[in-house]
Amino acid sequence: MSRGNLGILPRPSTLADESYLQYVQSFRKLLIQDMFPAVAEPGTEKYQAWKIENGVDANTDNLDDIKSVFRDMPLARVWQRGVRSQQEMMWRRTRQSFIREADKLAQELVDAETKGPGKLIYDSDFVTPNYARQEIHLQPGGYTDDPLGGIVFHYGTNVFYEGYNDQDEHHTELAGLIAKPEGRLEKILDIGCSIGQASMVLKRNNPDADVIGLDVALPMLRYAHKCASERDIDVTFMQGLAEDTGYEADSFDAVFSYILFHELPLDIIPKVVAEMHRILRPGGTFTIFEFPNNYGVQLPPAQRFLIDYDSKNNCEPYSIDFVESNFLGMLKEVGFELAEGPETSNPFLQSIIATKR
Amino acid sequence: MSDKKAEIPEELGIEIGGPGRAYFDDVILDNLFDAVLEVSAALWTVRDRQIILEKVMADKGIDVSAEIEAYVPDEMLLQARTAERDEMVARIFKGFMRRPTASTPKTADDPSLREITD
Repeated sequence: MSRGNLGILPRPSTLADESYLQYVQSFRKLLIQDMFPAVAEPGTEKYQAWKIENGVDANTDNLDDIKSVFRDMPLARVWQRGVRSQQEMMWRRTRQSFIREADKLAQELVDAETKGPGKLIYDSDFVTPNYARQEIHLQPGGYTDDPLGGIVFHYGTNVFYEGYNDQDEHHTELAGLIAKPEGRLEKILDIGCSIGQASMVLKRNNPDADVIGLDVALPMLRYAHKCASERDIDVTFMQGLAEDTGYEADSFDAVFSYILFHELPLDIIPKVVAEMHRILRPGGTFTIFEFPNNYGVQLPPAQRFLIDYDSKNNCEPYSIDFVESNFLGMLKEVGFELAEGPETSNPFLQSIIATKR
Repeated sequence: MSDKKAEIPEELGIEIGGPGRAYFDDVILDNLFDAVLEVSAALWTVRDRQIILEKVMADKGIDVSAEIEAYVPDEMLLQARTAERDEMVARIFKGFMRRPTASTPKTADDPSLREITD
C-alpha cells in the first residue's frame, strides 16, 4: 500500500518499516553526535601521549600509528560495530520496504520518462564503467545496478543525514551557495547529480537558467526526473561521464559539485577537473563541496581515523586516495583560479570556488 | 527511452549480505550487539504503533488500522516521537559510554565509601 510522501520524502510502505528505520536513524544520531566525540577526544589525547612516549615528531601523523592507538580503545570498537550495523540495517529494511511496491514504482519510472517539464536523456547502449559499480555506502546494487536505486537512495540517505535532510534542507543550503560567475548565469551543470536534489534547488533559485544534472547512474537519474516532473521543475537529467561529458567547450556559466570527487578513482579526478575547465566559459565558476584533503595540512587524527574507517567499512574505496591527494593542485594545474568557498553548516566539508580565467 | 519496466531483483547486496564483519575479538559480542539492536528496534516499532494508535483513536475512533497506516503526523507529534525515541536509544546504549574501558568502573571488591573532604 502506498503511504504517499511526507513533503518530498517518500514514506516506507508500512508504518513498521518507518518506525524501524526512524529507530535506526536515532541510533545513528547517537553514534555520530555522542559516541564519536567520546572516541575522538580520549583517542586524540592517547595518540598525542603515544607520540611523546615514542619520540615521534609532533608535526608528523602516520595513519597506521593513529589507527593502532584508536583501535585499542574498546569504545572505538563499539562505535565501529554500531556504525556498520546501523548502515546494514538501514539498507536492508529500506529496500525491503520499497520492494513491496516494486511493480508500481517501476511503472511510475516508465510513465515519467515522457513527462515534462524537464527531460531525461540516456542511451540504452551506455556502458557503465566498472569503477562506478561499487556498492558505495553499502547500498545494495550501488547507484547503478538496482532499478529501484533512486527511491532506496532517497529514503536511505535521509536516515544517513539523521533526519536533517528530510526536505532536502542540506541540498537547499549548499546549492544556494553556488558562486555566481561574472556576467550571465544561463547554463548550470550539476555533476554527479544523483537523484537531483541539488539540481532542482539550482533551477528553483535560478528559474531563467538551463539546469542540467549529469550522472553515470541511470536508476538515480530516472528517479530524479520523476521527482522533478512531479514538482513541475524543469531540469534536464542526462546520463554520462563527468570526465567526458560531450558538451561543447566554453558552454557552461557555472558548475556545481557536492561530494563527487572522493567517490572517483584517483586517475579519473584530473580528467574530470580538465573537462570542467574545458566546458566552462571564461569567468565561469566551479563550486565544489567535498571531503577535506590532508595534502599540505594535517587533518586531526580523529578525522583521519574516521575517514579511514568509512573508506573500508562503508564502501568508499576511493576516498583515502582523494583525501591524501593534491586536489587543489589538480584544479590549479588546468588553469582554475581558486578561492576558499563559503562556510556551511557541515564543518567536515571543504568548500572551493574555482574560476576559469 | 524505454517503455519496458526494468526487472527488479528481490534480493540484492554483497556488502549487506554474507556473514558480515566482526569488530570484537569474540564474534559473540558482535552477534549480541546486533541482537540488542534488533530487539530494541522491534520494541520501538511496537511502541511507535501504540503512540499512533492512541492518537488516532483519540482523534477519530473509527476503522483504526487503516487510519494508522495512512496517518500523517503533525510537526508536534513528529518532535515528541523523536524526543522519546532518542531517549530510548540513549537509555539502551549509554552503558557503552559509561564503561568505555575496563579500568574505569569499580569492581565487585571495591568498597562503597565516598571520600569526604571538609
